[in-house]
Order: sequence, then structure tokens, then C-alpha cells
Amino acid sequence: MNGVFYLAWRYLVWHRWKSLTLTAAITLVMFVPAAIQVLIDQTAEQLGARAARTPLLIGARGSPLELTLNSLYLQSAPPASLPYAEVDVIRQQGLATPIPLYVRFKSRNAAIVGTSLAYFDYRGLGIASGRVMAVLGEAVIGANVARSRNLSVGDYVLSSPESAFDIAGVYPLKMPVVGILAPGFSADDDAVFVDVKTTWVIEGLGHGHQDLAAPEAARTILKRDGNNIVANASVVEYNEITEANRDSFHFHGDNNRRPLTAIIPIAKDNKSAVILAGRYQARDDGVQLISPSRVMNELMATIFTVRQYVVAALSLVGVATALVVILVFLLSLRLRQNEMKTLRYIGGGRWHLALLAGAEVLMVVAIAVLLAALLTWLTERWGTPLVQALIVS
Amino acid sequence: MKAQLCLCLALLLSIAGCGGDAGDNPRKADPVAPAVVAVNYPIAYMAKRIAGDWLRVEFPVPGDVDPADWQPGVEQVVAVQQASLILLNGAGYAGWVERVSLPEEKLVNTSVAFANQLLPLESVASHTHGLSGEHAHTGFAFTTWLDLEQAIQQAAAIRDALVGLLPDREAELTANYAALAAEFQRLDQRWQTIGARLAVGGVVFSHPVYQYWQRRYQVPGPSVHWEPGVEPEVSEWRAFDELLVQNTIRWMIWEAEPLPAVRAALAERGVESLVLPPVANRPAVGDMLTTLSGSTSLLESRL
Repeated sequence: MNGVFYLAWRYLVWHRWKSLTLTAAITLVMFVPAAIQVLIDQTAEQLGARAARTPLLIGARGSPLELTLNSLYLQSAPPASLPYAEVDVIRQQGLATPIPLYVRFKSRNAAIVGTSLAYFDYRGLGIASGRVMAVLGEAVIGANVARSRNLSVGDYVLSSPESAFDIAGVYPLKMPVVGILAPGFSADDDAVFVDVKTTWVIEGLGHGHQDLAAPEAARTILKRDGNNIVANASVVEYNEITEANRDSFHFHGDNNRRPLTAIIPIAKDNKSAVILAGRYQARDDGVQLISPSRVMNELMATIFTVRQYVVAALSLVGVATALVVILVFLLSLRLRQNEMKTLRYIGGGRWHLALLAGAEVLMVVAIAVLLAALLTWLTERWGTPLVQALIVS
Repeated sequence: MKAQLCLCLALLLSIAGCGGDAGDNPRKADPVAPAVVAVNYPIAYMAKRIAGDWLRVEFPVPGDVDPADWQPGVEQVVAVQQASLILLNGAGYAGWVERVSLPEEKLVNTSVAFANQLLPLESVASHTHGLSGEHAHTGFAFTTWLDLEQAIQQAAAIRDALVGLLPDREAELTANYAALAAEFQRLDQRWQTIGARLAVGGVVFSHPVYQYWQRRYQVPGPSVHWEPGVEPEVSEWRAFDELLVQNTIRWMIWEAEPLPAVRAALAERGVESLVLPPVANRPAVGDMLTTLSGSTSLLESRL
């Protein structure tokens, strides 16, 4: 018996390229469907976990999926905005604690999340170094942002213009990094966190500028009319909030009308959550309350359906591959007729010859199975972060 | 007999002394008790009166700074973030709150009960620039506590917030609030009487910080922008004289004692100076009520 396997092994080694090709083909046929299964399951689990930790989400009426992706996963374009007044509406009802979100701007490829201090406690985000933001303009960055850009406390991040061609747009805001979050193994690791008021400054709803009553601003003054000073557009606006100019920053218009992209209501209990959901269902004023879990489950159901089609297609490919492999072996046996004849002449029986051919097939398949299992295990360990990194880069 | 009496007295005194152990005193402030931060002195005073020793009430503004204009440093903001409650005056008081990050669940706006009765500021410095058009820095008068009826409502809001923090102490907190409210009401009655007397003679106010006091106690009158420790400029005297021509003015109410020269110059014009401190910051001597009560007594003696 050992002689049969020895001969089979020597044959495979002698025809190594053919053996490697066959092994690779069989490995891929087994590994690809398994990898797809693993990646989708892991992604679904991660997405589902984050959605499960956010039972309720409030936003402007529109696509629930866009609202969920933007608010929970900090991806996709910002949804339609809702007014800040909704935060007071929720607070006054006494059913939930509202956490405002304004996720519209970016710092290079990192989402800038305008929110309140309660967000960090809610997400269980700890501070690895530094502290949370204290004053307007300060930023706290996720672990991945700090690592990828080699940033530490005391460095700066810049907000990116929304359009490279918007020359009349708001200047980028330079924000000092005052804290770095501990890894949360979530979308928060890739984000820059600021107070929601800072995002309004980025948008231009608030600004600081030189004192128009000061002598150095005289050249910017067009006219004075009683208590009103009219200045031209050359008045210097600050694009960095510092200790020296912070008290000059001010906001225009009604605070309640400033924009948010979403509000996370932290309900006091299940009963409060149900009452809150009922109240929002009855509203038809352009505000909606959604369940991110339900939205993600619907998305996952769609993805799982697509996966089934993909796996079915890959199964067909697998069958075709198996047929080709069988054809290769049969053709190989045909080409080895003289070799088989020689083996019979030296005493090899029909059974031994069949065993020899079978051992070759068995070894190739066994090696392919081991390789596929190894690759699947590696995918399970590092596949999802690698894919995310490749997609992000 | 005398010796026995002295011995009994000594024994009684020693027994009485044993009862004062700080460790057994249930009202001794716990150094790590939750802290309450107030944005101005009146709010801090009310919180302290209601909370007693159960909570640490902190008012971080230095004594020589107007709390309305105070700009905290980063370290101070970080300290405020750690408080269990942050008591706001409301009406836009303490503009620094708009430029910092504070835990919103800890913020208490003490004037929300009368938010629809706030007085908009009459003359506001505004500016226009660029393409965005005019924008005025609209605001409200914010010395809300000078209307003692409003002060009682602010104290009620503070009481409710403190009860939320110490639900087991509701009875004590409520009793403390009731005592404070009663004192405010007594002072309110005195100011009603003073207001009636002042209105007869005509009043001008040294600074536009008395709006709610004027409304509550029915004392109309213009305001100027004179500081107690500063000699008014010639142009300001000229404007004041024009004011005297247009209005019957017998009294001028100051935030603090004016310069003797200014007091004399006003007296020459037939205007007597009176002092009613807004007590936005902690007084040098006494507290909010003793200061206001003392000033009220002086007003009563002069009117």
C-alpha cells in the first residue's frame, strides 16, 4: 500500500505544474464559496450588532437605509437634514435622551461626526490618550485615524471642502486633536468627532471674525447706521478657533433651525421606546423614526438572496471544474498507457493500477481541501478588515 | 453645694460637647459629594440655600469678573464637565456656554418656566458683512433674578433639579426652597413699595440691567451706560443733560456706589444717586439676600 502512495506522490511531484494547477483549481472551487459565506456572515454580524445597539433613530423623512448607513456606519451621502429643535422636542417629552448627529463633512476620507458628549458613553468609547472635546473647534479622533495619519494629541486635522471647485465655499477649519479614542472595532475608529456646534462652524452657520468696531477693521467698513455696522466681504474670518479668538465666534439665526442629519433617542425603557415610536408614526411633518435593526435585516436579506445566487453560480462552476479535473485525469491515464503496461508487465495487478490512479486523485483533492480549509480559516480571522481596508484605500 | 453645681455643669457641658462629632453629623458635606456648577452668583446662592450641605455648589467665576462676560479656560471647562448639574440662568446669559461642549443631560435652564416672558434687548449692536446679509445679535435681557417672582421660579427649577439628584432628600430640599421663597417674597413686597415711590419722581438707570426689575415693580425710565467707578465723559454729561430736559428725573439707580464727584455733579442737577446692586457676582460682604436687603433698607430710608 505504501508503495502505491509513494509512486502516486512521485508522479505528482514529477508533473508538478500539472499537479499545482489541478490543486489550485480545486482549492478555489471550494474556498471561494466558503469565503463569501464567511465574509458575508461576519459583515452581517458586525452590521447587525451595531444596529442592535441603536434601537431607534430619528431623521428627516427619506431613505431609511441612507439614514442608517450615514448615522451608524458613517458611510453614504448625508440624508436630508432635520432641525435642531427636534432635540428639544424629544427632551421635553421625557421619554428619551436625545443625542444629536451631524455627519456631513469629511476630513480627507474620515467622516467628521458632530455630536454631543453623550455619544461617547452611549457607544462605550474610551479615551486612549487626551480627553474629550471641551471647547468649540476641538476634535477627538478614532484609533484608525490616529494610526493611519500618525497623529497624536496636539496635532491638527483639517476639514475638507465639500467640492474642489467651490471657490466661494467655506474655508477648511483647522481643528486641534485633544483626544484619541481607544479602538472600538467599529466605524467609530475611522471618524473624527467634534461638538455639533463645530460642524455648524464648518458649514458657515457660525464664525468668528475681527472686531468690526476695532480700528484695524476700519478698511472693511462700508457704513455705520446707528447700532448696525455694514462691512464688505473682505472682513477676515477665522479658520481656526483658538484661545485668543474663541469668544468672537458666534452663530446666526435661530439655534433651533440649525441642521442635524439624525438624532439617536436613548429611551428610558421599553415602554418609553414604544410610546416614542407611536408618536412619531402619527406625525406627518417630515420627520421619521426608524429601527436600524429592521433596516439592516432587510438589507441583509437582500444580500443573502444575492449570496444564494452567487453560491449557486459558483456551485455550477464547481461542477464544471470537477468535470474538467476528471477529464484531465482520464486524459492523463490515456497518455500513460505505456506506463500502465510496463507496471502490469512487472507484476502490477489491475487493482494496484486502479489504486495508483485513485491515490493520485485522492492526494490532489486532499491537499486542495487542506488548503481551502486553511484559507477559509485565514479569511475568518483577517478577511473582513482586509477587505474593508482594500475598499477604503 | 456650689462645687456640686459646678461639677454638674461641667458634666453637662462635656456631654453636650460629645454630640458635635463631625462624623456623626448627617448634614456634613461629603468632600466627594456631587458638584453643582452655577453660571452666576444668584443661581449659586439659590442652589446653596436649597442644597445646604448635601451638595457642593461651585461658582467658578472670579470675583472681579462679570459672570455674563466670563470666558473660561479649557481646564475650567473640563472641570465643569465633571459636575453632576450645570445650572444655567437662561435668557442667553453666559455666552461661553455656546462655545463649549457640556453634557446636555446635566444642563438645567432655570428660566424655562418664564421663557415666553423674556424681554428682548431694545438696542443691539449688529453687523452685516459679505453676501450673507444683515444679521443682528439679537438677545434678551438676562438679569432675570431682579424680578423676585422670576427668582422664585428659578429657585423652583433648581429645587426640582436637585431633587432629581437627591431624591431621598426631597423633603429637606423642599423645606429649604420654601424658606428661600418666603424671604424672596418679603423682599418683593418691599420692592413693590419702593417702586411706587420711585415712579413718582422719575428714574434713570446707570446701566441697562434693570429691565426685569423695572417691569415687575413698575418703574419706567431710561438707561445710560455709566460705570460706578468711572467719571463720565463730557459727551456723556451732555447726553445726560438732554435726557433731563426730556424726562422728569429725580433718582438715578446705580449698580454700585458712584464716584463722589459724580454723585455731587448729579446732585447739582437735582438727581439723587441710589444704589441697587444686581449681585451678579458674589458681594464682598454678606450674600445675595443680605446685600439686597441692606440696599433696600437704604433705599427705604432715602425715599
